[in-house]
Amino acid sequence: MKHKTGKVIMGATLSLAAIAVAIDHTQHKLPEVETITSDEQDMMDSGTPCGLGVAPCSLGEESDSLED
Amino acid sequence: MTALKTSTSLQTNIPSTMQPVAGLSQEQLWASRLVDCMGQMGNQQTNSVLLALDGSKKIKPYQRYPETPYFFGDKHWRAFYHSHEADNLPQAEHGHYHFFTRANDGDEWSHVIAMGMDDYGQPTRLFTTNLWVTDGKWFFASQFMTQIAVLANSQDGALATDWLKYVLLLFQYEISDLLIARDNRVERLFPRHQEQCFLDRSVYYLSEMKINLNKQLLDIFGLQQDR
Repeated sequence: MKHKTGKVIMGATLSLAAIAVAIDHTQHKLPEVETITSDEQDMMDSGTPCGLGVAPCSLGEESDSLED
Repeated sequence: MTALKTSTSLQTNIPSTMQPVAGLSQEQLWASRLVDCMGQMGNQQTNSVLLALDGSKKIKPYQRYPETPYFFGDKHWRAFYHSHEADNLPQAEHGHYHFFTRANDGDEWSHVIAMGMDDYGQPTRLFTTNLWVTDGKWFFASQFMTQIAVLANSQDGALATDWLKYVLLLFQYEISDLLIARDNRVERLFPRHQEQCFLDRSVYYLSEMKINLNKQLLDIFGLQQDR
């Protein structure tokens, strides 16, 4: 069955139902997260995994120039 | 910590290229575009996190998704999703996005905000973290409205990053308040030497706020949910 398009007509205000449907249709179960080993956790907790000093939530790479 | 949603002074910074059209306010326009993104995701039976995971069936803790974090906002913003266990993370949180922007408009990146997601790919909270968590340059709250204006004026891109863009725009006042609350907390914790806070591993979160995307959209359109 073909899905109806979710395109919003610009200029028309959204209804409560349209918002609820849009959110509902994006609710999909996410894959499970693998269990981390204690050694890996210790490494991340220290903020230097593999001794490179990469923070656990950093971008983890060199900065990218705007000139690219 | 709960941040106040009262940044009325910020409302003067609406980007000039995003003026209200066709009877929609600025926020309603952003909200419409976000709902449009969700409609497209719904048609593809996906959501923003699944798009970031790009088919991964198992998620490795701390692995960044996508591997090369997204660029968006005309290359002034970056984001990635990841999951990891930690004593201080809510149990219901599957993982979170980290958002970065350019520090002082240069080539270095600053962490701005993180957004927790539930097991079904819906945003549940916004939070700021200490500098040791993300590294990079410290992002000053005063820089936020400049960077959010850059984002608002930027070209739309891919579906996944457009969703992130419009969520950030719709929660910009909450994020601004969280950044101010973050800085106030740093000042309270380390009144004399605030830079000492940045390396203190006993301090992970600096401010946080629960969010509800459905309620935010309803509020923006002046709609009320049936009780």
